[in-house]
This record gives sequence, structure tokens and C-alpha cells, in this order.
Amino acid sequence: MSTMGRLFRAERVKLRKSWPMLTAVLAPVCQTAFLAVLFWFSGPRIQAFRPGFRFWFELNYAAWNLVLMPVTAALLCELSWEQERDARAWNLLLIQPLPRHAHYLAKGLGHLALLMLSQVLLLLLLPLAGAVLRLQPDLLMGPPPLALLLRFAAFSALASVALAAFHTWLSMRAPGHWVALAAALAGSWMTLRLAEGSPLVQFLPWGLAAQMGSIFERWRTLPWAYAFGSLAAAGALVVLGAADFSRHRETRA
Amino acid sequence: MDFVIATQGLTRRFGARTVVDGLDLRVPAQSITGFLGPNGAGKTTTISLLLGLLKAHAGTCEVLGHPPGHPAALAQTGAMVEAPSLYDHLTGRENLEITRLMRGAARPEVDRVLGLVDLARDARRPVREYSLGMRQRLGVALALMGQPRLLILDEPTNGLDPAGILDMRELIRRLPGETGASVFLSSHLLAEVEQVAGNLVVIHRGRLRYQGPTEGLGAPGQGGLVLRVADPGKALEALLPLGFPAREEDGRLWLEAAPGAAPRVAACLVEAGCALYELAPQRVNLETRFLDLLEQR
Repeated sequence: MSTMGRLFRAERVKLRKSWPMLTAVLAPVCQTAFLAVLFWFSGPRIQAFRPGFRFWFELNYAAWNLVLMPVTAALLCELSWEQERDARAWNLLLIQPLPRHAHYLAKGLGHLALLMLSQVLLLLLLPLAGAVLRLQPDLLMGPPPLALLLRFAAFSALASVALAAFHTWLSMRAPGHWVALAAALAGSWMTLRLAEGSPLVQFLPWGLAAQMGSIFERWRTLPWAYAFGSLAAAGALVVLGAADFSRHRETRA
Repeated sequence: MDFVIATQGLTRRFGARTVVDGLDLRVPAQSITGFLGPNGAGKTTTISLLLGLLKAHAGTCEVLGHPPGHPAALAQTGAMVEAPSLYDHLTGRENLEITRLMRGAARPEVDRVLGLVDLARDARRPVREYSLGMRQRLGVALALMGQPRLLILDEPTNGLDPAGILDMRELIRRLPGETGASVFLSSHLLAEVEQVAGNLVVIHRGRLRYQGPTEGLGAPGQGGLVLRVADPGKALEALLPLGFPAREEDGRLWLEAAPGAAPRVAACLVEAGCALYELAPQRVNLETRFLDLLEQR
């Protein structure tokens, strides 16, 4: 098995029964449950927004990309680094016969895998919760547009790569829950404000996720071409983060 | 002699403070070497330098013939630095599994090291439920993963109760025989190390104070001669021409003379008609000698 393969398997063992894993599972469950309750009790008032399955998916993916996914990425990256700090793990991990950057890459890969797990859960929960919402006739749910759901899920998955890359680096460099949360929320809000102003926004960690805000404007399509810029930015962040991690060879002072 | 660790002029500073100061270490293979020094002497920093966790500011260092932190050296070295690095939410077995995967060791290796440290029965319990002694033993098990040739243990008995210290001592004593590994054991307690280590390295304020066999620390030749005579006053007078500083204490005479001077001393006393019952090299207590070393400037 390759070095990265072994390290990624080791990461998977570390994530068992861990806070990052719990965060990754709870985030989509909490969002879906909260919005489903909101939908259910909104009754006739929501009809002004042309409800139905499409609106249900749009609302969830907009909330996910603009708020929950940045927050989840921030929290699970921070909790994962915190787990290493609490275990004083670097005194053990860095004396293994493995290149230092491989530890960082495995960590980033583990964070991305957790974010993907969150999104798979969201993808499964949305049609299920939607099926329950169909029991409320005021919501005019109609048939689920599954192709649309898959498009949103794919776009969201692409958007999560840059977020995982950014927060993996940030939490390694600047530990702290509040630092991570503040960066996630402020970054998402600022990027949303800039989203329509410049195509350069795609290179920001929140750039692709912020584009999900446009899905309510149904004459617009998702800017898939921005994914290349976002993935390139994510790649650059991973390379810089790995170099930064390897350069800091000293673990104690 | 084959050395597993060899350093020359190893130096490390933190700001203006020199924590390891020109250290020349020679740690022989296939033995237990105690690495002694009071708290803050520079032991953990030295170990971190040996493992490549810290970078030396001067001097050279070789671990198993490689520079510190070299993958070839790390592949054959197991270490526990400061406290054991453990994930509390995982079981003992899962903690070992992480290290096994990273070292690319075979699956049965987990059971082997669990057996060595006598933790097989508790392997499926979360580490947060472990006692301090069990955590330390698990830390040693992590260091033993992959059958290393060199084992570096930094204060493995820290915080243990007397029974835990005894268990750990027995475990360390067994290791070279059962695993073939050389052990470099750091501690600030002489009593703990002298019972298991064949060799000692003593450092204080980052400087080497002693290096050699454990018994050599309090060896004859470093103390003097002790005499039991019928009449100490007469004996003191008789020994005056030899010029050795002498004093009477507890009915004995203490002579500041090398063991090689014993025949001359005996002849002098016999010639003066002093009844001599005992003449022996003074064996300095290890603890006293250790403390003396620490007080040297």
C-alpha cells in the first residue's frame, strides 16, 4: 500500500467516534430537520415563494453552501487538528519514517472525505424529508426533480474542495474554534457580497459555494466554469499548506 | 564498539539560552543506557534533536548511522517523547493500529506489542478509561511497533505510583532480551535508572557530566581509602609523612589517596606498630556522586 494510502487509513481510524465525524453527520441532519420543520409549519404563507420540491432543494442547497458548509468545514478541520494537539500526537506522528508533507496531505484528504460524507447524507436526506413534506398539501411539493438535486449536489461537492483546503491550512496555522468560525462566516458573507462583482471571486475559498446564492434567480444557471478556478485555488492552498507544514520542522520549544 | 547514538558537539539554543551545550554522546548497542539529569537539564531537548523533532544549531549527530530524522533511522527507532501520544476516544488497539498503518507493519504486530506490555486484556477499552500506568505502557507499546533496533523512552515512569514504577522497570529490563533493541532511557531519578541501566549518561545544564558504566559513577578511585585501626590518633600521626589529607570520623580514618597508595599506607602503619583491621577503597555512594556531578561548574 502506498504511503498516502496507509496514512489515509490511519486518518480513518482516528476519525472513528470522533467530534469531527459527529459534526459531519449532524450538520446535514440538523439543517434538513430545521428547514423541514420551518416548511411544515409555514402553511399557506410559503405559497408566495412557489414552494414544491424544487424550492425545497434550492433553499437547502443555498443554506448549505452559504452557511452550513463553510461552518461545517471550519469546525471539522479545527476539531480534527485539535484532536492531534490534545493527543500530543505530533511527537509520535513526526517520528514515523514518512515524509512530513504526507501527514498534511492525509489530513486534508480526511477533511475533504468528511465534507463529502456530509454532502452524501444531505443528498439522501433531502428527498426523504421532501417525501414527508408531501403529506402537507399546502406545500404543493409535486414530484422531486432528481436531476436538479444531482446537479446541486455535484456543484456543492466541487465547492467544498476549496473550503476543505483553506480550513485545513487555517486551523493548522491559527488554532481556535472562534478563529475558524469567524473566518468561515466572514469569508462567506464577504464573498457573497463580491459574488456578482468580479469573476476573480472564483479563486476565493468560498467563491464557488457563494454562487449557489444565485439559484433562486431561476433565469440564471450555475457557473460551472468557475469550478476550474476554484479547484486550482484549492490545489494551490494544498501545496502551500503542505510546504508550510513541512517547513515548520520543530514541534516543541 | 558499536554505537546506536553518536553525537559530537551537539548544541541547541532557545533564544539566548543554550539548552544543549556541546554534547558528545556515545550510546552502545544492545544495552540499556540511562540518560540522567535533573528537570530542565536538556534531556527532552536532546531526545528531540536525536529524533529530528528539533534542529541542532551546532554539532553533528548520528542515530543508527544516519542523520537525525532520516527515514532510515526513524524506521528502526521507536520513541516515547515526554508523555505518550494517545487518542483518548479510541481504544488501545485502535491507537496501535494507527501507528501500525503508518509504519507499514504486519497486522499481528499489534498483538505482539500488546503482549509485551501486558495490555492484551484491556486493548478494547477506550484509552480515556486507562490508568496512568496503562497509558505509559501503551506509550511503550507504540514505541515498540515495528520491532525497532533503538528504543528512546523519555521519563517513562513520570507520575507512576511505586507499583507502576516497578512494572515499568521490569518491562524495560526485559526489552533488550526479548526484542533485541537498545534502550536509551531518560530520567531525572538515579535510583530508577541505576537498577536497569548498564551505562549512564549524566547531563546538567545541557553539558555532559558523566558517561560510562553505571558502576563507574561511584567507582573506587574517585573517593579515597577508608581504614579501621586500633588507635586512630596514633595512625594519623604515623601517616603524616605520606602527605595524604586524612580525617577521623565514626571511629575510622578517611584518607584522600588513590587506591594504588594502599600498600604504602599499610606498610607505613605496620612499621609504626599500628594494628590495622581494615583498609579498603572508599566506595562513593552513587547518589552522592550524582549530586556532586550536578554541583560541578
